[in-house]
Parts: sequence; C-alpha cells; structure tokens
Amino acid sequence: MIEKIEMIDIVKQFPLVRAVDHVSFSAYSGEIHSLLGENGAGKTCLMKILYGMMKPDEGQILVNGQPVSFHSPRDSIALGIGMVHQHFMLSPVMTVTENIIAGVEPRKNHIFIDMDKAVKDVQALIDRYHFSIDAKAFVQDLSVGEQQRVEILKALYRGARLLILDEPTAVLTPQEVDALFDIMRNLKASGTGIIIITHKLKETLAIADKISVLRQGKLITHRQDLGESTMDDLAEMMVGRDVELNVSSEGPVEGEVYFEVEHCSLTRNGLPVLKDVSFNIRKGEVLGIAGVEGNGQSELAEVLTGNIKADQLVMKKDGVEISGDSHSLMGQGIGHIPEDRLAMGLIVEKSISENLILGYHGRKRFCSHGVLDRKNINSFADSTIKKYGIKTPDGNQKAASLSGGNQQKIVVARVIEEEPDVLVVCQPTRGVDVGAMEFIHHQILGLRKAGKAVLLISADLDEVMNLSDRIAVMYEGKIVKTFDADKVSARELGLWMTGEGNES
Amino acid sequence: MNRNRLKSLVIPLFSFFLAIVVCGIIMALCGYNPFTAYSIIFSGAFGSVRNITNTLIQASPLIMTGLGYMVSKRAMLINLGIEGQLYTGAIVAALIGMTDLHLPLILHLAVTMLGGAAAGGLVGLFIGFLKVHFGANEVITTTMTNFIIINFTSYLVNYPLKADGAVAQTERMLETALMPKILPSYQLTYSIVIIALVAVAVKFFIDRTKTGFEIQCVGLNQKASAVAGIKVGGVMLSAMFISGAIGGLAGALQVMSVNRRFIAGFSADYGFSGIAVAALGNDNAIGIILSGIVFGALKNGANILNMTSRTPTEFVAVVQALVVIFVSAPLLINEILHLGAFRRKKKEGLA
Amino acid sequence: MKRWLVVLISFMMVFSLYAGGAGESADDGQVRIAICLSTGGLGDQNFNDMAYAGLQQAVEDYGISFDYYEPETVSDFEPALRQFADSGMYDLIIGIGSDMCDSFSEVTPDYPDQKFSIIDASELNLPNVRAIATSWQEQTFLCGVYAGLGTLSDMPFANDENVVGVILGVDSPVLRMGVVGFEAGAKYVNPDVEVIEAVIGSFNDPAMGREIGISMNNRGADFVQHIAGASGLGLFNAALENNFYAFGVGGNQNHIQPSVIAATSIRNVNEMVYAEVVSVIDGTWEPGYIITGLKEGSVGYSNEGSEVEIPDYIAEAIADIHQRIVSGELVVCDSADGLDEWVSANHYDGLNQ
Repeated sequence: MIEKIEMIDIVKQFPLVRAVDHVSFSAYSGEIHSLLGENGAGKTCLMKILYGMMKPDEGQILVNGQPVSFHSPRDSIALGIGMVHQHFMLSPVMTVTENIIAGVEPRKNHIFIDMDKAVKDVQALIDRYHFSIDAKAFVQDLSVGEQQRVEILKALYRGARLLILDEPTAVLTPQEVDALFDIMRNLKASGTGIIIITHKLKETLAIADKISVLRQGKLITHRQDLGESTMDDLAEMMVGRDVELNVSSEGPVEGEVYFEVEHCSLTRNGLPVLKDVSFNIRKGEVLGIAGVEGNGQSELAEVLTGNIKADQLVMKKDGVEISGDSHSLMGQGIGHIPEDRLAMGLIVEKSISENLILGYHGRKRFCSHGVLDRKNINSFADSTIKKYGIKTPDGNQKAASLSGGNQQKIVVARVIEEEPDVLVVCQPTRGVDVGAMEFIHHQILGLRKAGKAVLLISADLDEVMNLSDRIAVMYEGKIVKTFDADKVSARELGLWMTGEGNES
Repeated sequence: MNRNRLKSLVIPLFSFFLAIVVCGIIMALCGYNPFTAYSIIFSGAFGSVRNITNTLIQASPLIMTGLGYMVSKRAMLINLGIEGQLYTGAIVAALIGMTDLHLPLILHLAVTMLGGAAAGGLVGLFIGFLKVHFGANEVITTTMTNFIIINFTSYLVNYPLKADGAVAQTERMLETALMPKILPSYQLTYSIVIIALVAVAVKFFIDRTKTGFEIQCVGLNQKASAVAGIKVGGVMLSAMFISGAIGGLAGALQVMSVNRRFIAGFSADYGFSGIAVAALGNDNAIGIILSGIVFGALKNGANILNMTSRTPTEFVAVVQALVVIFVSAPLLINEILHLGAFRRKKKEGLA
Repeated sequence: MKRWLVVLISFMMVFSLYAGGAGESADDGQVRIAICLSTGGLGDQNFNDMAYAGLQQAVEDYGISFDYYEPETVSDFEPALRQFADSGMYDLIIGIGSDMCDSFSEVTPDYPDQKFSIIDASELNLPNVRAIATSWQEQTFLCGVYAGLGTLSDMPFANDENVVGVILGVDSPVLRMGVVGFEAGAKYVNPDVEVIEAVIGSFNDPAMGREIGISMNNRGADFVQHIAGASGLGLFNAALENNFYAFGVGGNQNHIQPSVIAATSIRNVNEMVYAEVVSVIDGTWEPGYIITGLKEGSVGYSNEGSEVEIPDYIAEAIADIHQRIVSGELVVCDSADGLDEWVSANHYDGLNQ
C-alpha cells in the first residue's frame, strides 16, 4: 500500500531542453497535490517519469522509502500508481466494463472472461465512489465528464492508490468540474492520493491541499499550506513576472452589423451537425461561442472559412453575399485561426518564415511570375518575428523547434498581418503558456479596436467570457441562447451548454 | 556545412553502406568473394572512359525516374506508375521520331522529347484526376495502369506498329530524332545534358516556385494547406502531371539515345528503380543525380563483373531493395548509429 | 569532411589497383570466345542454356575459354558488345537472338578487326559479321510428316478425322514459315490432311495456349504443333487433359509431358554456337548471311525422351525423308504462296506399311 512517494533530484534532458531540472517532489496518500505550471514547464514530463513512461537521466524514486525503478507503466501500476491522460484511451463501441477490464480481465477456468464478475466488480467500484454511471453503458453514449470517470475507474480497478490526473478539467463544463471535484474528495477520504497537473489557478485553490509550482523544468516553490495564497501570487510564480490575467472588453458595441450568417446547416454521415445557425457580428465586436466541445463549433468554423461545404448557408459581409472555398474566402477578407495549430495551422517541418506566409505566399509582395521572392519573404519574416516576439534565433528554423506558444503566435501573426475584415478564431490559446496567452488576447482585442468583426470559438469559458462582447451558446448544433457578455455568469452559461438552460 | 543538412545525409549514406555490407555477406554465403566483386564493380564502373560513359548511360534513366518519383512524393503521392509513364513517353517519342516531319535536327529532337513528356504527363494527370475526384488510391491505380500500358504498347509493337522481322519493335527512328553522340564510338549522347538541365529545373521548381512550395506544403500537411487556402486538388494534379512528364521524358530519352526505336520490354524496371534512387538521393534533385550515378555505376560494374567472373547481376537488385528498406526505416539506422555513439560515450567516460 | 575525402580517394585507388589485376590474362594462344546471351539469361532451358552447352562442349573438345554476359533488357546489348570488343581479348564475339541485330549494326562498324557472329539473325550484311539464321520450314517439316502419318495411324490417341493443327505465338512472316514447313511435311505423306491453325497473340500466355489446344482437338486435330514460346506450355496441358499429341519447338521439350509430346521440332542452338567456335579454330569463319537447316544440323527432329510409342514405319519414313532432304533430293517448300503447287508436285513414295 502506497503511503508516500518521493522523487529525488530528478533530471530529464531532451536534445534541446532540460525538461526536468533537479526536481524533488513528494506525494502522500489521502491528499490532493496540485502540480502547477505553464505548458512546457515539465509537469507532464515529471509525472510520466513517475508513471514509468519515461526514464529519468538522473535521480531516484522511492515508494514508502524503498528505491524503485520503473521500466514501463506496468511496473508503476503494479505498485498502485495510476494515471489519467489528457486524451482518453477508450474504445467507444465497447461498454464501460469492457473498457475497464481490458488487459486485466477476470477469468473463468483461465480461458473465458468472467463477464458477470467483471460487471459486478465494476459496479461496486462505481457505487463506492458515487461515480453514477452504468457499468453496462456504451462509452460512446457517455458525456465527456463520464468518460473521464471511466478512465479514473480504469486506474482504480487496477488497484491504484495514487492517481495522477493530467489537466483533468480542460475538457469539462463548470458543472462537470464540480462533479469531478466531488469525486476527488471522495477518493481522498478513502485514502487515495491524487496529483493533479494543471495550469488553472482557480481550480488549484478550490481543491488542492498542497501545491508545487514548476517553471522551465525547475521546482519554484512547494507549499504545504494554501492559507494565504492568491491567484495573482501563484500566477507570478508560474510565469516569473507579473501578468495581467484578465484582459477584457469594454461593454456592448453599438456599430453597424457587418458580418451576417443565416440558416447555416450541415449534415455529416447522415447526422445533422449544424442546425439552422444564424447570427451577426458588428464592426468592432467579438462574438464568443461557448459550448461543450463536439456541439458543432469546429464545424461552424470550417463552414464559415470554406473548408467544409454547408448544406445551406448565406454569408454576408457588409451587406454583400460572399461564398466560395477557403482560397476565395481568404481573398474576400475572411481570416481564420484554426483550432488545432499542429494539424491545421502549421506545416511544422517547414521554416518559420515559410509558415508566416503560408496561404498568402501567392501575394504580389511574396511572389512574382510564380517564383517566390525569398528576399521579401525573409524581411517580412524578420520584422514579424520581432513584432510578435516569437522566440527563435532566425526565421530559417523549423516551426517544429518552437514551443506551443510561439507556434501559435505564427498562426496569429500570419492572419493578423493580412488585416482581414472578419476573423474566425478557434481555440486561440489552447496549450500555450500564460505569457503567449496574454499576448494573443491583446492581439484579438486589437482587431476589435480596429473595427473588425471577430468570431471567437473556445472551449475555455474564461477566455470566451473575458474577450467577448456577446456570447452565443451552442448545444447540439444549434445556437440555443445569446447573452451580453457582462450580463451572464459562468454557471448560467454552463447550464445552457449542457442543454439544461431554460427561459425563465 | 549546416549541421542539419549533414545529419540528413547520414541516413542515406549509412543505409547504402549497410546495404553494400549485407549484400556482401549474401555474396559470400553464395560462394562469391565480395571484396573481389566490389573491386571489379568499382573499376568496371569508373576504370576507363568506356566504363564511365557506360555508367552514365545506365544512370541516365535512373536519374530521370528518380526525379519523377520524387516530385510526386513531395506531394505525398506515391507514383508507382513511373514505369508505365516511361513506356508511354517512349512509344510516343518513337512514333514522332519515326515520322518525317521535315524538321531540322534540333527541332525534331525537341518535338520528340516534348511529345514523350506530354504523353507521360497526361498519364500522370489521369491518375491524379482519379485520386482527386474519386479518391482512388494512387498506389493501386498506378500499378494497374502500368499493366495496361505495358501490355498495350506490347500489343502495338506486336501488331499495328510492328517492324518487319521477328522482334516486337517499331521501325527505327529517323536520324533527326536520335540524340547525337558526344564522342564517336561511345554510346553516350547529349541526353545526359538534358537530364542535368531537368534536375536543375526540378530543384528550382520545388524550392523556388509557388507551385513547388505548395507541393511541399500539401505533402507535409494536407489539412493545414487546405485551411491556408491552397487548392490541394490542383496541386496534386500538377505534381502528378510533372511527375508523369519526367517519367515520359525518361522513356523518350531512352529510345532517342539507346534503343533508337520502341522495343517491347525495353525497360529494366527503370521506373521502380527510381524509388530506390529517390530514397538514396534524399528526395533532393542534386542528391538524386548522385544516387542515380551510384546505382548506374553499380549496374554497369555488375555487368562487367558478370562478363569477367560469371557472377550474376541480380545482387544489384538486392542492394537497391536493401537501400529502400534501410532508408525507409530511419529509426533502425538511428538505433544502429546511436549504439555506436553510446559506446563511444562510455569509453570516454572510462578514460 | 576533408578526412573523409582522403579516405574515400585512397579507397578508390586501392580498389582500382586491385581490380586492375583481375580479368586480363596473358595471350597464350588459347582461343577465347565472348557471348552475349539473350534476355532471360541462363536457366531458361532453351536458347541461353543451349548456347552455353555448345560453348561448354567446345571447352571440352578444343580447350577454348569463354566469357558470357546475361543482359537484363535489350538496352544492355550495346554496352556489353562494346565492352567485349574494347578488350580486344576475344577471337570471336557471339550474340544470340534477332533482337540483337540493331546493336550489331551499331557496334560492329567501330571494330572492323573483330569477328562477330549472331545466331538467329534476320538478314544482316556487315563485313565483319557472320549472321546465321535457320530454316523454319525445315525445322517443322519432319514433325509435319509425323503428324500426317500419325493421324491416319492406329496410335492410341489418333482419332478418325484426318485433321492436324499448328499454333502460333504471334502472326509474323518468319513464324509463318514454320507453319508452311509443318503443313508441307504433313501433306507430303498425306495429301488429303486438313491443317488448321490459330494465333495466340503472345508468347507468354499458357492459359490461352491451353484453350486453343482444346478447341483444336475438339475440331478433330489429334496432332498439334506449337510455335508459341511459353504459351505452348498450355498446349501440353491441353494434350494431357484431352488425350491428343503435341509437338514441342526449340530445345528438346519432350521431357515436359513425355506421355503426350510425340517429338520436338528442334533448333540446335548448341550445335550452331559450337559450329561458330569450330569455324574460328579451323580458320573457315567468314562473314555473311547464312541460312542453315537440316543439312547443317542446326535444326532437326527428335523424339528422344518422349514416351509416345512411334510406329516403326513412321520412324523409318521420318529417317528416310530426313536423309532425302540432307542429300538435296527433296527441297522443302519455302513460301506460303507456293505451297499448293509444291504439294501437288511432291508426294512421298517410300512408305512401308
């Protein structure tokens, strides 16, 4: 039984960066320990070492005072360590029980899977910690929050007494976060230790007993007692300087309606994904779209930017109807910051300079008679790198060499430098550090100030609430409600996002 | 030299080295002395003017098919149809070359080459069209069109286009459509110059032009390219057209400078060898020239070996296949190189 | 980088020194022959293996030495011929197959003092080249005789109908002469026999060869000759399935299906190659275009290896007719147009039945 886990003087060196730099860390059963830090601070890396997914270059791990060495998660699981990753590893077409027992199935006569026993065991586990899901339900029918519980159950079923949760709240609605926290408290009461990897300060203060802050691979602070901690002072420790956490817009916009979307519908694989979505955005206005991921937001962005053809759609800019594929819509002043920079925004094997002109490389200033003008491209890249504070020795480095925040700056810079009339922004700060987030938020508000129309789609409810003038909530492919941003609470948005809202 | 570039050379060079070693072991197991064999191959490939010109002749089609394969590969399209495009270019060039167009040498040469290139390009375009509009997997469509084209050209030279005699071949091409020789009584022709120009053009096209840039982007990340407004379908079509055109030109040059007519089955799997050439050439035009010469030397040297010591030439195919395997398994090479570095580190640690 | 270069260059030098020693040999008066085989290479159980066997025979009989080259494609002929000729080591360079004619006309003028021979050539008139072709009509004539007598005989698979067949790989004037020889042979001994023919369209389609073989048998043909390369292998299977007799072509094919292959219209490439070597040794080699036949032993008939029991009178007739052709008493018809006239003018009179 795990009472205490110590990681002593751990070092992990990657070719270019030292991800973990002489970090010592300990966790105890029956307490919730928040491992706080920006993206790239080394939190996940440190925990992967603890889970046996990576080998440290230096340092030692002690379990209950005994040195151990993990060659794979198999070893750490055997000692009672479990980890729930950010991306779930579940098979949607199998039941909760089947997913949980996969690999450690109870056997009848050593050959047949004892499904009755499995269901009974799993249901007992569910009831014990009040997980409130059905052991026989299919995973594809569960909500994201429920799927996360299945992942936690998977670890518990394998006998975990120390749970590592990697950014568990990133994908949850406020209501689901509350439910998760209840479960975490239940687990704690039963003596399970929990390490929660996060960069969200509010949640840390709400749930954690202890805090360790990592910055650039180093342990900055370790607090046994949260008593006096405030968000600002934790943020400063994380980033290393004073940051402005809440950049926000300034009340409702009175300008003329500039960008209109009417009757946008889309069917995919025979299922309606967007159902008659209509909205408009004024000049100098940010319209935020709030919603649990998978309710049509991604498709909405792709339809509006010409990457998917809608079944039905009327788009007007300044009263004039516009249409076409992504190429022609870009030419008509629609800018697009896609939701996933690695899959949709960047060609990471290409240089920073080339990524900075991607999509606009055919413009006269970069290309004449079909031949690229390397000189102009390089000087544009150099000045843009400076202007956006992209940290790199020069523009010839591959985009892959940059951190998430700097990569995102490329995507943002490329679009903003082109000065689009309408900007469709998706998940602009997902997986970026606090510094880059601050910078990108300022850029979006800069466009607002310049009188552009901005559509902001983000799963980060705080971001939507901070940046938007109005917020539309999407649920099951429909806009179910639109609010003025300063007249709505996160709790109310959360209800609408989960289809529980009602007009009263 | 740039560190990155040096590093990118390590895998192909080491793969080649490894292929030579493995093949040497196979030769030894078959009872041939690999050291003697490789030394005869080397001198047979480079030992005299005759040897060098023959090496270049063997290298010529390989460089071209390597370039053709590379262009499509840059767009992440696997054009296994270079062989068929080569046959198409060859038969069209042979037909144009047989016809008296009352053109002077230079013009007749140019028309013949362009005809071959255009024909190969159209075949490539057709495959691209199937891919873009119907989502047909190009690996399958190219393999199938290879069958059709090779058998159809064989039919043509067995029946309607057959020259008199027992051989399935067309009539001889006119002198004005035959590539002039560089040296008398040496088979090497000016097609080698054309090939060098094509390589330079391909390099410029890929690195410096808008379409070349878009081909690279589509090849590296199709979704991001589409989101960025690149017309992915159009880019694929151009890549397949150019790839096929280079394959067609390869066939045209082969009939114009080596065979002087279309002969059924004239290709020694040049189209498929192009895959190995491109792999060893690191998918880079200049690298492909060098790797084409390496494989040409190997083939020519192996011919000499066959003539002087009765060693079968099949092992050249073994080396080619091994190179492709090793290059496409960079992790394996990294692992092997890493082992060496690790041991070195250990030694230094002890000292 | 520099050190690499030094290592590389020194490797090259060592290699070329080492290699320089190999291959060459002192001029010891031994006759040396080079042969460029046809595509397909050794192991084809046909042309190439027979040519090799002919040279091997010459090694045993005269102590010559020889080098050979197995080209992958037609494109490899010319470099190989030049390579052999450049060395100046060979008393004779031999090529096999009519698809090498192009390369011969290209290469041989550059080496006027080098003797070249090409086996199975089409017409080629070059001052230092001896081009040898064989007479197709003489090659198939004796199998035609066998078929003409066999279809009338009481051999187990012979049927009542007076029909025999011949299958072509592709329709070419040269191969047509094989049909003429077969038909002339059959009608020489059996003027009323019907000879049916078919073209497969490929030398490499055994399935089609089988189909055609079966359909010919259904039309009454009980003896079928093929001139169709690998497609002919299908005929042998058809013969085995449907119980009729087939004739092979080229190298002796009787062993392939000895129970149904009655004989082979043989072309003795080994004899032809051997004869070239001998002519160089005894000084009778001279350039020109030569068509050889039964008399020279370059083509012939063989039922060696076949398990088909040939009636004595047929075997005697074949031997007798063979003798008449060799002696010049009988001249085989040499054109399709003249066949009818030839048949009415020539009729075998020596049958002992």
